[in-house]
Amino acid sequence: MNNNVVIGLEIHAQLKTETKMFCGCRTSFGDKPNTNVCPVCMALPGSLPVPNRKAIAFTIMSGLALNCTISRYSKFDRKQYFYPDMPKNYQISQYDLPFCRNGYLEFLCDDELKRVRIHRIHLEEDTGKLVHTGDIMESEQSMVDYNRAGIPLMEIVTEPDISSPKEARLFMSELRNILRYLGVSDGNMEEGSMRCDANISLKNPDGTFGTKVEIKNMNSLRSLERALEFEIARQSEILNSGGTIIQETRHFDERDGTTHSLRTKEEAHDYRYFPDPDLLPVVVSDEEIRSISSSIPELPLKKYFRFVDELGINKNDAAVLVSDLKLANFFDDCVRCKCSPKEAVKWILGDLTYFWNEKKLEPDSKIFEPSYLKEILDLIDSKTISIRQAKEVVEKVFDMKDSPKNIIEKLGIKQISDEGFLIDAAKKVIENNPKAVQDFFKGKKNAVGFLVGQLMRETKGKASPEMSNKIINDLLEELRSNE
Amino acid sequence: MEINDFTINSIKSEYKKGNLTPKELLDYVFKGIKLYDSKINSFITLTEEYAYKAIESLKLDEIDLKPLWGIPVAIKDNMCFRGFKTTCSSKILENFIPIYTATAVQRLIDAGAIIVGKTNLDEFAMGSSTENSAFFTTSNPWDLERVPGGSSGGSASAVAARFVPLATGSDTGGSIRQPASFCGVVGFKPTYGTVSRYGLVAFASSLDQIGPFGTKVKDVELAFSVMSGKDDMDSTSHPYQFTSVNRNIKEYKVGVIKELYEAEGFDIEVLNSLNNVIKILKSEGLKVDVCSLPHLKYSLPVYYLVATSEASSNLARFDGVRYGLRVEGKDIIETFSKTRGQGFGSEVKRRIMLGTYALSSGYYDAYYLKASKVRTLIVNDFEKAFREYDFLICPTSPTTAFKKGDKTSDPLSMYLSDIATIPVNLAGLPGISIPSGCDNKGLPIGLQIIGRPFNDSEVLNFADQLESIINFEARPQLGGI
Amino acid sequence: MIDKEIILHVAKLARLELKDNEVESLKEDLGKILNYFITLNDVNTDNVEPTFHPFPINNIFREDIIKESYPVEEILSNAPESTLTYFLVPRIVEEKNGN
Repeated sequence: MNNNVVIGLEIHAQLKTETKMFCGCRTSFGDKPNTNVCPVCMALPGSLPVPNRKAIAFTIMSGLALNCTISRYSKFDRKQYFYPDMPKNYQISQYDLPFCRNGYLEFLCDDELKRVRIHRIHLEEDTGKLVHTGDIMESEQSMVDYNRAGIPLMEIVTEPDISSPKEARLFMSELRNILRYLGVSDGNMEEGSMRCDANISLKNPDGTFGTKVEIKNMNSLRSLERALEFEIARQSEILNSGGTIIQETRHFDERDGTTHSLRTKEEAHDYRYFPDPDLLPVVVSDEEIRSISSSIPELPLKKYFRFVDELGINKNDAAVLVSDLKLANFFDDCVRCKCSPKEAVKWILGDLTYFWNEKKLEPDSKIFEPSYLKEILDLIDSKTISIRQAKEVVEKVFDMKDSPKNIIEKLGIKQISDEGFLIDAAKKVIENNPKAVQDFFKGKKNAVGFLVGQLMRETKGKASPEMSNKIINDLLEELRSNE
Repeated sequence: MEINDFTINSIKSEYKKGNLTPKELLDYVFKGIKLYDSKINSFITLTEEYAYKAIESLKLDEIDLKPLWGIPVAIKDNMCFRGFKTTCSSKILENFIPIYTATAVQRLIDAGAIIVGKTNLDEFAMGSSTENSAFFTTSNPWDLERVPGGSSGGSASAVAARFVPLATGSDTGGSIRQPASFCGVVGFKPTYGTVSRYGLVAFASSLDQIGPFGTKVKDVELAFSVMSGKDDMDSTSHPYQFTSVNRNIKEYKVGVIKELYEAEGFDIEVLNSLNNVIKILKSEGLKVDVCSLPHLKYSLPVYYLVATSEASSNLARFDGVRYGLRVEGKDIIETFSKTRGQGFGSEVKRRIMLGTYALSSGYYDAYYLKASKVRTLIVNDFEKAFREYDFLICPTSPTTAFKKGDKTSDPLSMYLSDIATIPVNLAGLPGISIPSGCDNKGLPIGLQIIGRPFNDSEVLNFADQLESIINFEARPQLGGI
Repeated sequence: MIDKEIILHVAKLARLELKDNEVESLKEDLGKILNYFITLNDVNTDNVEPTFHPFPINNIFREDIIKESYPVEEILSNAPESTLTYFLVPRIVEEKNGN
């Protein structure tokens, strides 16, 4: 519809380090207010920051995964403004020498590869949290919790290459997945470990960029898409009726899906950036870049194409597998155990996912090992167990926390493929169900099914369904010819 | 009292001989303070109860293991000492009680030192006379009408008055050396990064350095050896390891800084004293030349732009939210502004304003960045000079102690009293001030010795030998012991 | 030139409430000081790198190892106002500018 939409995103992702950016306090979420703080992250007089090596490595790793150029020389700067959630009243951030620059992210949109350029990635510290019992502007007082203050925060800024709300959502989804693959961030928008602001404008008829509006407070991928859709409609309407767009920051309201102006006095920000004199420059060597680079796992898009092109998985299934690294890894491990990829996908996205969800387990929980799937597929192949039995075995694996082989042995689950035994049992079933036999003679097809079912019941489900079917059919045909 | 001089060495030797106990010394220290400090006003807080308790854990058999065993020490009141008020001589921190102890202070304690109190300073260490304290002005023990220098005026006067043998100071642009010079004691600013800044309430992070005051070079050396060394809590702390040096003074080559020797604004008696030192050195057989550091004349603007820029940022945290004074306004912005407007004194506000301006949009390049570039040229001048000379010498201050109120109305003239000490901070170098004589009013004159970075031991070795030759024995009439 | 407007603007940036006489004296003092500082313009700094730290030391980090935080009672011990384990601040009238 709109090929004149210009969207750029600014993403903040909390890094999954154990400790904060500049002190050893925990980064855990949901603890009692102000219990994960110390003189440093509280900005007590005399305290000093010391940077977390891992947070820097995580940022560089993210930059490499997003095809960025890594700065060989970086530094930390102070971004200064007063706000009560920021203990020092300046935020340690990076101004002119961010760790990463000029990258891009590729993702699939309607089966087409779309590329969005990354302008820069820098590292900074998160702020504390203001807590209110009502609306922030209406509260007489605010409560401040500094547990979050100082958690390493990576800021990723895109170029304005996104041209629809859907693309924005898919971009964010891909980015989140990449960060999860790298293990550098939870990417949880609902909990706020990943946050996103959008800049959106509509191009003028002559192709020049229109006035940019910034949208904040989108707490899910869905919100991002909704907010942008609303904003496009709002801006189009203004422009169509001859109005002009005001450059401003707007807040997205989850409840009614609209954006509203923050109505802040339009005052030019003067952050007075300058190099933080408490912190020393960071020099990154080629060797460090090589070493970080070598620790980057196969990324989702590449995995997707491998699953589709090399393993013959259909696109939808491949997309589902790839959307969750643990699931994708489980699948890869199954293939490594020589499972047929297509069979493995069926089981993984079917019964296994069902039980993982039901038992609230992750695919890497070790309850159900990839080798188990190979065992089960082999048993089905060798006709030792039926598909139905296989499903039962899967369930038992989750219940008994044992391997398929042991479970089959313990519970005596085995398919009966002894022909003589099955013929005897089938004869008894036919004898005991004359009505069904009559139905068969009358041409009622489901009579066979009923009798096979009875045979199954007789054998407590262990009869090979295939053989049972054949034997019942043979016996009935024999009876018919004797008639 | 059985001891003749107030040096660490003689105190410890009396301890060992059994002529003196830490308790007796504490009695003496607190008696001296009570008798005379009402006139001098060195101390903001006395930690008497703590001190008497602390000596109980001193074991005599550890006296040789702990370099400062039983030595009473005064701490400048901008260094955190857990459980005791740390005010920075500011209303904004008047009731602030830190929950942790500065690394340098902790190292003194671990070495057996006994903290007896916290000393007065110019608010947030911003000043050269200790007149900017929000609480009271400290007097110079040599002449109570005069300032002790600043900003570490409380520590310098406490040592000069022989209240304590040792005290700590912090030096951002001369705040140890200049008051040492005014008070006739030894004050040492070590190389930037050798002593951790963790727990020192920051003024200007790239310039601040903690150092000791004593009556003799050997004492400040001992304190420095204890306080220095890498601290994981301070990114800018250096993996420095103190080792003493013992080289004959005759082996050294000394440069006299032309820009601080043939310059205007220096008292004739101060320059005469320097000439006397040059004569002594030459007679000892040292090579002494005048050398020029052409960019030194820009030190003052560079310093005041860099220091105030950093300070404007460092002092942003004082907002009445987490600690310190709060002056309630109708909302948070007004609360911030009222708290800071009423909590900070006029010199602090002046510097915050100057620094905020120097960093603000449109002025950054012309002021802060320009100053940082000229700083490079000053650093280069020193580097060049040190290719030729082992030490550079100059007066510590252009004048001896001035009268209270003389410079308070003209900030620029006050700033000029740091002209000789400021360049040393810009380059991060070690600098020491030792007494080199008195003027005709009987006020002490200080000589500044500047060394190569991390050559602190050499500076101390040279200063120690020169101190013996100069043999400055004068001391103020007023004071303890 | 430093005029009243600049003083008020800078004071706002620095969150400093100034009395009228303070505005006046700051205008004069800063004017004088900055005028003295003009001498820096005499120095040619083309191709000169700025010095932000006295020594060229790089890459000082800490490892990502947890260090126990401080007890919340100590953290709140200097707070002008607190409730539960929160710091309490007066009414907030503007949205955050940062981030």
